[in-house]
Amino acid sequence: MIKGRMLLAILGTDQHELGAVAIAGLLRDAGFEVVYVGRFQTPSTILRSAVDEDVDVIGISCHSWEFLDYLPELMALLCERQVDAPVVLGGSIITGEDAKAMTALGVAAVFGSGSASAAIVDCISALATDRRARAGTA
Amino acid sequence: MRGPGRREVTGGAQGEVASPDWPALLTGVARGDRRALSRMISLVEARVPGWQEAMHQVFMATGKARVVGITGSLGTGKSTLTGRLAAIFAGRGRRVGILAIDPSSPFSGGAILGDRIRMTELDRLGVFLRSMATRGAHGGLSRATRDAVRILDAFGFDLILVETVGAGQDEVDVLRVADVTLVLCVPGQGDGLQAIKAGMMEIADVFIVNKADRSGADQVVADIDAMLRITRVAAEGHLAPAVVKTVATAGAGVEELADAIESRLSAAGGGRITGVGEIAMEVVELVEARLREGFWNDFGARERLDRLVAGGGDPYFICRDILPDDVFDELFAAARIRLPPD
Repeated sequence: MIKGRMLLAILGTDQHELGAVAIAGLLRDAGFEVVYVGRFQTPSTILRSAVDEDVDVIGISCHSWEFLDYLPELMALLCERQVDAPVVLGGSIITGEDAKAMTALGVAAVFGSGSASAAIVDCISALATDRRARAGTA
Repeated sequence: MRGPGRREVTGGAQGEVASPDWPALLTGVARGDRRALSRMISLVEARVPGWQEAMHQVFMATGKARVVGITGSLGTGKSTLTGRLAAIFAGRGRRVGILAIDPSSPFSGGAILGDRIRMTELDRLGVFLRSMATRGAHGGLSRATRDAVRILDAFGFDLILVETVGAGQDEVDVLRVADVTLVLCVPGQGDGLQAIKAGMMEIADVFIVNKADRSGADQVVADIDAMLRITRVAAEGHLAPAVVKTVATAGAGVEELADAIESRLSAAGGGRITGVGEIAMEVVELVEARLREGFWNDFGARERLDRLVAGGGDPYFICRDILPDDVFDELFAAARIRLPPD
């Protein structure tokens, strides 16, 4: 069986794609189906993709300030539309303060630069397993 | 069939798995609830217990949608063109759903599903797009593509676009679901279209020469025309194959392509997916999958296999150990009692 389905998105005008591509490969090799939507995503496009694809985890890759603006909107939208997939944020420019703020918004996990691959895979696996159990697709 | 390294992982210490509320999902799909639609596809794709009864219900609500298959080698522009076609058909008032298939890794079972990045216009048009990984299927579709087509049909989509994996010569399963099949070619694929001559040559209702702004496009068109003149006539109820040039990234030629598809949909009629031959093949596949999964998962056969292989046995000996003749005979004796021949 697959480990889970994961959406991978980059927000707004953030141009940095290498990190997201690396994570996509990492998760593919760990047995995930990665729905890669890439750059120029907004909360509403992420919502649509998450619903249509019935993903277990929503992954946001950020190497630019966009997440500070968009994450509150995204979390509110997902809550309003009752999308139960947890959100994971990863990127190189997230400060400790930011991470706290994001967690307070309901982001399930935040990974800064230097995070170990195994830790990322383990965390996302646990979130996906939990969500698949709730969805009945486990 | 599963690739090497793929294992069913069941049980374990994780929390309790929720049972699907199939009646609520079926009602949701009938009512046009998109979340019910996408969840139902997930559950059927995962073969969660109850799925066949649910699909039986779904089947009775199908029959209105038309299915267009889009296939061709990797990098020919299938996703971009599928997005363009979806936008045009949505603009013409059709309710469009897309199933986009990408390959599962034979090693990890994972996949990168990248078709959405080529179909960025769809959000505002209300087009539904679902990415599916092949999950061990080899014919260019995923194992649950036919089921997903039917769920989309029951939901109310009247035009379903099925985009295959980047396909070679022999991955022609799309023929079995699509009322009209499109085969993409691009300039530079080889003289005389070596890549598609055999299997794919025979399944196209429309040949598309994409990336037609590149040099050599007219030669590809000429090669296809020449082949069409010397090979078969159109299948019964099908118009002769058309050849259309497009530049999918710029949208050039796509309106003409949509017209060619519309006329062929009218000529072909619907219901390829419910043809007698197709249904028979599908039942054979479902029964075989059931037997295969039951055998390997329920009797500890997989563990026995691993142990014997690790012990260095040869395949013929191990096969007879895992499935001895008397066990095989007993299995079939039980089936014969329960299911006497007509």
